[in-house]
Amino acid sequence: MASLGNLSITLALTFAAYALFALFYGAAAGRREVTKSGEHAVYVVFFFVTLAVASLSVLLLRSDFSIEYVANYSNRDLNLFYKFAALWGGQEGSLLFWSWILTFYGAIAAWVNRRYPGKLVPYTLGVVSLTSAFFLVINKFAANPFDRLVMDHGPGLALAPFVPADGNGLNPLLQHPAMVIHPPLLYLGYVGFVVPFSFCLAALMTRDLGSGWIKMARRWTLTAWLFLGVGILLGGKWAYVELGWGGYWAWDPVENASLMPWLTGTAFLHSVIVQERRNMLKVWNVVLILTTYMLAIFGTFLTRSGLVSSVHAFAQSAIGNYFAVFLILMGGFAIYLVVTRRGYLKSEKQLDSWASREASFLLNNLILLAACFAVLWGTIFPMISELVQGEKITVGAPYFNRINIPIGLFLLFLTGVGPLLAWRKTSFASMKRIFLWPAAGALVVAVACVVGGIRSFYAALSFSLAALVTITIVSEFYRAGRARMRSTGENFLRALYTVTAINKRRYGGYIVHFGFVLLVIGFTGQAFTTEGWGEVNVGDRFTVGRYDFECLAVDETEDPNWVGLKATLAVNRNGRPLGTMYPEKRFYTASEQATSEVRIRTSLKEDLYVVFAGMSEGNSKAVIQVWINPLVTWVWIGGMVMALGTIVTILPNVKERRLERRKRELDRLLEATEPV
Amino acid sequence: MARRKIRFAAGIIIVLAAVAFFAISGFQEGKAYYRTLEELEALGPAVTGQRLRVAGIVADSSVVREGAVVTFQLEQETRRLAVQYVGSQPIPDTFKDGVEAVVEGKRRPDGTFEADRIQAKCASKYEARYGGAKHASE
Amino acid sequence: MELLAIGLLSTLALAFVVYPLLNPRRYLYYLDDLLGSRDEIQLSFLHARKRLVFDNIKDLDFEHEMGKLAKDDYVRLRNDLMREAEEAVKDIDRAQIRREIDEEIEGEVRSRRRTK
Repeated sequence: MASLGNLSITLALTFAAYALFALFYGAAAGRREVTKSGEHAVYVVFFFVTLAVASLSVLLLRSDFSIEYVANYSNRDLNLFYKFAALWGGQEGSLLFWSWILTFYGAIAAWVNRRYPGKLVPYTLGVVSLTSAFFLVINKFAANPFDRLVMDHGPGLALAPFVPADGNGLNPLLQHPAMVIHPPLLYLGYVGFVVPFSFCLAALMTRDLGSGWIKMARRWTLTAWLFLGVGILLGGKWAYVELGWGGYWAWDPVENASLMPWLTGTAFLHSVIVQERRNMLKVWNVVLILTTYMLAIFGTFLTRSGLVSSVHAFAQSAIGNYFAVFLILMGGFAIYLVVTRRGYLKSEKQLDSWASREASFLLNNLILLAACFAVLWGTIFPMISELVQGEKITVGAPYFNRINIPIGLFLLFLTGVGPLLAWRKTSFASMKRIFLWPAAGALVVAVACVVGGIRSFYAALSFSLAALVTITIVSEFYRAGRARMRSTGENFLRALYTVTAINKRRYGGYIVHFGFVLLVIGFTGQAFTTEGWGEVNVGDRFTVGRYDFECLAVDETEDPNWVGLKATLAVNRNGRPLGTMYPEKRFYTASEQATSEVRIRTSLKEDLYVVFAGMSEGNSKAVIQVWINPLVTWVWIGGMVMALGTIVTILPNVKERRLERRKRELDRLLEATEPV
Repeated sequence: MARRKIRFAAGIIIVLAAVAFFAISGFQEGKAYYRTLEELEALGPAVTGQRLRVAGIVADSSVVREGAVVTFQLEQETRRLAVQYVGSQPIPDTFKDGVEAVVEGKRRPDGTFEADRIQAKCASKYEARYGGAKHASE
Repeated sequence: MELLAIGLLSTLALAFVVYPLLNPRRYLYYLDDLLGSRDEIQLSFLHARKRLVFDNIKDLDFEHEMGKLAKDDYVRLRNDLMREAEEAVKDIDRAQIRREIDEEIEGEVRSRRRTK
């Protein structure tokens, strides 16, 4: 089975190399039979990678510990579900998984565009194959999941195969459904950006730099962005629920690595609208997708190279060098293309005024890029300072928060203002009309905050802007529905539905923006977090905020896999009983790993977050830590709304579907009348 | 035409300058120098009060919890550092005897270390268990 | 056993990949699209631009109906867009006329060759 897997990787790599050659040569020489052969090779590559993934899965499910990867990330008693999930639990497996997703996307891109004329698609598939080939090289030579275990019995004796009785098992912290989906979701996101990037390079190669490549890449970009965003939030949710430190984002280098491509990806999604409507910002768009691709690969590299200290980091290994070389070569190639094709990237129009929609998009680009750069700088600063000064200096959360809070709020502001401005130039008269209600709403909320005793400037600003944007979004829907209702005579709801259906991109986008508002409201709650703790015997009480705790019991618990301590706490709020909570601390025997079973009492207003921190004073008193996290639930709700909105934008517009149908009929006609 | 260009350039510069301002102030507030136990000992009282990050192995049986405060010792070869963790976040689950931990905080005048942030890594268990086992590619 | 399976699959894969190379004539019909006549590309680009301007005008009209634009703004912006639309349509007409002229001339040349 392992040899099957290994050979499959080799074959995949061989065919990927061939595909790369056939697609580029065939397109350049104008020989369609060669590009067709390359296209077939793309399907074949996916097939063989699937075979490799299947072999690894079988080895994992069979618990074949002669294979190093299986011994490292699985054990006999592990639940079958987690045995399978170990496929992406370790470095080698996750990199193979990456290749699998990439070659899958390549096959889809090939199939969906198989009748598209011209050189754009062959070049696109060529770039995808180039990336696939790189990852397959890593899968084969640098991080091969099919390596066997051998034992060195001493000098003069041959290395002998070694099969341990049981594996290391999966870290119990990772044995959680969210943790199982988190990496695949992130990969579906990271890898998804390879395709739009490939379309971009192909467009540069064919010198066809209108909106064509953007339109073709649009759904890929949205899907990748959706998966990445959901993956990031899921990681945060898992950290909140499982790790027990009271928060959901720590500006950890690996977290940052996933955030950065999301930031530039967001900028790209918005910026392409300007190119499609006004043929401007062409260079921006190329640079943004390039950066997103590089950051996605860099993110994968950062997570796996051991270059930064993080609780996430996997073992240090030489693959860093492979990634570095690839990024440099790919980056160099891309820059070369941009420089030699810069004539084709000139904007056809200019920016007329700051009070225009183009300007708001430009500011959006600028600010997101600035945030990304700041996060990047903070993340790699320890490495740079060590190289330059010989001292390793780390920057902490204060740095990241200082920068990103104002940026986030400014983004929120643009979210509200941008869609209201007209293209090219908005006169003062128009602005008075459109900003009256949103500004009034923002002011009301601002005053309410001050009166209500909110002392944090950022929090008050955040709530005011949230009001501004919400009113903007509601007014957009309302006005659009009303306008259509007036012209077609439909009833309001039907009008609203139709308006959204024929322009899913815009109105889906507004839904995403509303989700963003909820997300920011959720983040703002952090300004009001209360924390406290109590050291208790049975019968003792302590108070945190408006909550009152009484320790009813501290019991020992056990399970075949772990032993633990469980505290029973009666909770009151403002004197009224709320029920009991049972925070636990467990100790897993196999991996000698401790975990806290956090108990959270969620409501829309706040989360009551209770942790059994440990025993103190010679194991006599239980230490319970408590956080009151206001508005946290809105982060998760906001995330879901953003995801739903994104799905709406991905769906084809009603008119679009009719056009697609006509196009397919035409293709079928052409096929029937094929000349010899 | 030139006036318009100047206006746009000015706007962009203002935005970037604001970002840079936040970056620099945030940086000053949060930066921490990474020091090994050896360097810390060598530098001594000179770095009292400076924000530092120190890594070491958690010494066996040195962990004592008093309420929300945890004291323990970090060791590196023969050197030891007494650490008192006073941070608001609970000790991470991976923290226990023998693991590599990184603490962030300040050196106290008496030579002990006051940490307000703590991170711990999972030990590389594979090497520990299988002794001389290596891997071989096909 | 595994080697046999892999051997078989590799052979099938190789056949699948090589197949198009053995039947180049099947793909001759695509020849045009790869070599691409410049006029076709230019014309489709101009049509796309016209459609874009028309869409922009429709959007502008709708935004006015929504009440987001003051009357003066609307008139000014619409005039700008109409000028763009005029240019786009004129460009298409020019390109089409040039194409017709080219075809006519080529037709005459071809018929002259035949009568030779």
